[in-house]
Amino acid sequence: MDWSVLWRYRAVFLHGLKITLHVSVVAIVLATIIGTLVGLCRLSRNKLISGLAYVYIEIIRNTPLLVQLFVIYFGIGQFIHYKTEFWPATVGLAIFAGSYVAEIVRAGIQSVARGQMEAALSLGMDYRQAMRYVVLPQAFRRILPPLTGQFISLIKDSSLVSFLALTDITHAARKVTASTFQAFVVYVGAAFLYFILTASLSQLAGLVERKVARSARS
Amino acid sequence: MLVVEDVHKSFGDLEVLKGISFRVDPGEVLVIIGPSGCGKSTLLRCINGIERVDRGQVYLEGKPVHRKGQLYSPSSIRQQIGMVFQHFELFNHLTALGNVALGPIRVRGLSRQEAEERGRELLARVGLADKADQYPAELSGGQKQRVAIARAMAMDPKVIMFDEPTSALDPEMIKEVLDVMKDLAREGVTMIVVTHEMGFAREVADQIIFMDDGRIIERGSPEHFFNNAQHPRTREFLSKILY
Ligand SMILES: Nc1ncnc2c1ncn2[C@@H]1O[C@H](COP(=O)(O)OP(=O)(O)OP(=O)(O)O)[C@@H](O)[C@H]1O
Ligand SMILES: [Mg+2]
Repeated sequence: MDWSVLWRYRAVFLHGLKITLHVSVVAIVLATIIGTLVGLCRLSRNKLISGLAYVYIEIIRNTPLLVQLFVIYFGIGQFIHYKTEFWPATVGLAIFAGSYVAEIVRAGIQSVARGQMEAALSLGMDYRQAMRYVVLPQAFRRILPPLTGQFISLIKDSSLVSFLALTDITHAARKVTASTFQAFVVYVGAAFLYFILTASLSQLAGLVERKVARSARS
Repeated sequence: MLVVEDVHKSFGDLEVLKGISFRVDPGEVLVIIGPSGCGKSTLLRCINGIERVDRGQVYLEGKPVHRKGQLYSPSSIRQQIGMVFQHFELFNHLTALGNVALGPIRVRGLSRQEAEERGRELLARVGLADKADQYPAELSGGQKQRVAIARAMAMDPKVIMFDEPTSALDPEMIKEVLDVMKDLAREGVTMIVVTHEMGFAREVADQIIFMDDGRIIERGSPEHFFNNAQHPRTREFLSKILY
């Protein structure tokens, strides 16, 4: 076992870390947007809208992420030419995580009692204002813990984008292994990098949670 | 000013309101009493139009509350009919002042500064000047309900509806809320109050309505009500509630 491999190939690993971070952050932002919109659609009184949201959630949650990524990258890639691997990979991850976020958002909104909506409406707010200023901010506090869990999964799942030739941490590990044959050292090192990312996210979420804790009790 | 005309409302097979009509004039206090489940809360929701009616109409200063094809009444109507809830329904993510200022900022378009200035005045009026920066979780039940009243007042509504405002409160807090409500009544605020507080009804009400099973079965002045109620159901209800 030669642990110095990690140091010698640090540039490759750091580049991988950068790509994984980039993919994850953008996918988290997109998944939040997709998930919030789809979660709201799920609650719509319009049967068509809530039905479509339901179909999206069910299909995405019941098929493997890797296959979804292949459909987007290789499948749709047959018809459109992707200039980089970044967007198909990131959007694929976001679409996947978005379906889980949608369910978390829906449950969060439903847990904010109907009375809060009625109180907001009674002040003259319309449905959108009531959602935006009253329901969503409170739902956010309840959503935060499960959402953090979902984003940690997303970071871990992002290792699959290495199959789309994106030079992320996992891709870097494969490359370094191929030239050094130090699989154990290299993959333990890669795991450690992922751990740094997920642990940082947990810390960040904990910080936000403590910040909103004062008003969350009720 | 507020006219309720033959309002009917069902939930599925359950007919909750079976033709309710009454009117409330400016400065009047109408008290609604009735047994649990007779449709009082549903009636209030139909009055400000956050619940649709199946038949009938409600008019606020001559304008219809319920419009065809609309899930809720227009904002312009809802903001003129304040509502105070049994379980307060304060916005837990906002301070007392934030609760009072939210409607004026988002609905009436006041600047934050104007809204907060006005909000502080209203909080002072309900005796909570020193609680402006507390979150609902940090307030007692009675304090929460007084914030809720200030929040409703902040919209300068034409009428304020109270849905059993004291029935979720510990006994020692009931008085502080009733006192605020009495002040409002004295100042000429038009009010519709669902309550089981008969002392309040006797002292403040101009009209009392007794509802049972989705209908109004007796109405009149407090004197009429407490001295010679006609309907046996009313007498029975009063005897239970007054011991
Ligand atoms: N959204 C709803 N869907 C179905 N049924 C409802 C709904 N809202 C109220 N009901 C029913 O309508 C009836 C009247 O309810 P409502 O809350 O108006 O009564 P209430 O007089 O306010 O009673 P309480 O004194 O318990 O507050 C009850 O049987 C209740 O279960
Ligand atoms: Mg009720």
